[in-house]
Amino acid sequence: MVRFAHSPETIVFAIDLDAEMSTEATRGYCRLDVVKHAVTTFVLAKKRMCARHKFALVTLVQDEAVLLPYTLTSNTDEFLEYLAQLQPAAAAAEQQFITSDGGGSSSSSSKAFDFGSLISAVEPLLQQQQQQCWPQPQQQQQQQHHGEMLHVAGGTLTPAPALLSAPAATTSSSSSSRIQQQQQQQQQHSLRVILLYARSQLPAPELRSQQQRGLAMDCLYVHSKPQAGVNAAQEVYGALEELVDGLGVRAGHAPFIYEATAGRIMKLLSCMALLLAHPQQRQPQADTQPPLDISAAPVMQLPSDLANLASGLPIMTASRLPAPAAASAWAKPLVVSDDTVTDTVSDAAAVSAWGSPATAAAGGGSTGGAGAWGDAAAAAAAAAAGGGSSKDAAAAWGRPAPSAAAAAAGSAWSDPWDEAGANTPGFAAGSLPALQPTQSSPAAAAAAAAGAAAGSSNGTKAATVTARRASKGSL
Amino acid sequence: MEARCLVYKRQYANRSLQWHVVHDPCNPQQAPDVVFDDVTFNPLLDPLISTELVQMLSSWGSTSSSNPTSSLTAMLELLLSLYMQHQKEKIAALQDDRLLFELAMLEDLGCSEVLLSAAADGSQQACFSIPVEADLAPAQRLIDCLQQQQQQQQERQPFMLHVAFRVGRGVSSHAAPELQLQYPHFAEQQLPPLSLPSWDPQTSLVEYVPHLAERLNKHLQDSCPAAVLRFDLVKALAGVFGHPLEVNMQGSSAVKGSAAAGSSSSFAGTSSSMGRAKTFSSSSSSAVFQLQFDQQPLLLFVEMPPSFPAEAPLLLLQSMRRMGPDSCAALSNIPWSPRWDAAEMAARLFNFVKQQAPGILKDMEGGSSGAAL
Repeated sequence: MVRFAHSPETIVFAIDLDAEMSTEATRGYCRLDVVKHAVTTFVLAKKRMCARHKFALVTLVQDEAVLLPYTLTSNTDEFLEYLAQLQPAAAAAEQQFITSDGGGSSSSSSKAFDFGSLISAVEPLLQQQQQQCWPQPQQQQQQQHHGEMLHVAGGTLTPAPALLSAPAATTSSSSSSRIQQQQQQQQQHSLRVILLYARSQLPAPELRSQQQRGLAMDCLYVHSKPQAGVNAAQEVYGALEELVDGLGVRAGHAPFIYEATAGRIMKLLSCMALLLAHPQQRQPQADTQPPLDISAAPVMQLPSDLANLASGLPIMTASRLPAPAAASAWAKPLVVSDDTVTDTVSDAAAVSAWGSPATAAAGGGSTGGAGAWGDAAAAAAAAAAGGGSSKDAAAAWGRPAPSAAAAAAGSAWSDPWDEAGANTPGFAAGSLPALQPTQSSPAAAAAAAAGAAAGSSNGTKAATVTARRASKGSL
Repeated sequence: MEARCLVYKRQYANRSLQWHVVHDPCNPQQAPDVVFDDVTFNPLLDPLISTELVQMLSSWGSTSSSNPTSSLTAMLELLLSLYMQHQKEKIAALQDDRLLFELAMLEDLGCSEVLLSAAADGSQQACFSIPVEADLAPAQRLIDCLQQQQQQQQERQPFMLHVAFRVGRGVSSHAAPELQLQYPHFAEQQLPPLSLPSWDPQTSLVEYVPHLAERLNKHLQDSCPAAVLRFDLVKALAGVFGHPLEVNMQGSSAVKGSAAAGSSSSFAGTSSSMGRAKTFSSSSSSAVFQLQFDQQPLLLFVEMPPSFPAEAPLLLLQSMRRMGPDSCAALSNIPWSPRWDAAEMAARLFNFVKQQAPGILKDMEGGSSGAAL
């Protein structure tokens, strides 16, 4: 169901400037460059939807987060200039742009990032948001003590801070209406943090102090290729999931959490696009469908043609429109881990992941990893194991088989920025240990219990979070 | 415990009322004090003091104990009617024939807000706010869509005609007044502006308002289906492209304007001297969907212009891989007919995007400006 409630957002990008950000992600571009590109396209898309969206930057260095207050703006050009100036911590220390405790330029931070510092960093913005809703702090306190706004006699009755506040009788009507309009506009902004975390080494992030308040936050984890004994991407991801879920549930927000290997540019950009989803309108992550592959989807039959063919039948409404064959691809749960899928068309597993009706039968014992796309069952593993299935799937869409398509279009569409070796056709599902979602999250469970006690809405959101994780299954 | 002060705010004619209601929670039997923002209005000192008000305040303790809120509401409504009476007396004191005639017709018009205020140029304005009866049956679907959008029941507000007669030295009240039609919430951002009937110097409000109501009803019949079609199209597009990432039916650039009728022009997009009248925004509605083309992440923006469905929606494809001018491309020559229903529109747009996307992406690849990952 499409929801139409809409309000402008204040989106705070919390960008990790750890030394890992300076590592190469793809040919000629470091990880931070890719993140900046993703944020830029995000910001431009958001502004196209609503001119009143605002953006701000928070940098994560070592164990603390620092808000750059001058970056809070609705001016796109201005914000992107500030974004362009960000540098990884090691390089930034040299340029005295951001203070940092330093360390080796190539070594990752040895201090665990404290999520409490992120909450503290955005505290001014949270207070500003509250003040915009309640113009006076005293009013807010009185409101909490003495109840809600009353609608009486065609107007509103609210607590006032002072016994005799300055009457506005002589204020010109046009200016008072402008002020009211500005206040109305300010009242509507909702705050959301998008965390772009980049550390693949321990220590994992933590929350050092007990927090009463939550934080509406989504997360995109950009990490090194998971390798046992080399890095701890899985553990870090688990900690991120737990922390982000816990804070989000306390704030009444159902967070989106995605992960991508730094070299998987297409997946990273795709995840960033998914984070565009407006919190008031989006579905829970567990229900989010993969984006429609317009190249694989068949041409739709028009309702008018159907009506002509079956004369006498009523024209079909939207609700009765026959679902295109392509819909079956994304109407079913995604069954592949993106860690097993490359970004090139030549990859058979990729085609089966995006273009074929998902084989939910593989959902029981998934071996391809779940990643953060929300579902278990590695169709890639199935496709790699039985390569004919992908060709059959491709034939269902009326396209040439993957190999032919790759031969014909591989040079045009193959991603030149993929990591070396990733372009090899038939990139097997099991060659990379995929990130496992945590099976049980004490934080989310505790938050769910707290949410159930606090109110039905929070409990519902907590249940949604645990359902998202429960649906992921295991490797 | 300290005295508690509440602020009563209400739009009244062309200004915002702001009265302070002061009461002592320790003495609920005691009637509250009210501080008015108009120094000329003091109902308890008026020689023709309202006995009803005196009686209400005297018996406050006994009547308010059961339901303080309803007692407060009754008191404020009485004060509002006294305030209106006060303003009527101020206007009558000007001894202007035209205004005296309009004052005499207030009850017939159902007018509940009258105000004598100062204009920016030092002259005075006699302002009347008159509800315009409109048949809302054509707008019911739109109201339902917007209630769903707001996720709450909105108090049903009427269409209000704000009229301001200039008075003062050198100004004839027989000159055409300034007129502005205030839309209720459901219409202010969804419906195009209404061209008001022109003002005849010989006419009066009691003749003008029914004429306006007739034109308004026609306007609702013509424009509400188009407004509802926007919502229907977004739902239909969600059925073919997937759940949208964001939908903004309120438009991003609210155009501050008013439907004002002067002596000659039927519609003037000038900033209103009425000030407080809510303005409508004739802006676009838009939705964004995430797509892929051969695993390239794309964004599809669908923007419905103010003249939709007469004008086709604008389609824009943005490549997440690219930056700069080559990252976006508008789809042109969209096959279109405003006669199609939402399902047909959505299917046609889907097929068009599918057909055009390869060529557009190829052009993007061939573009030399901007960066790409």
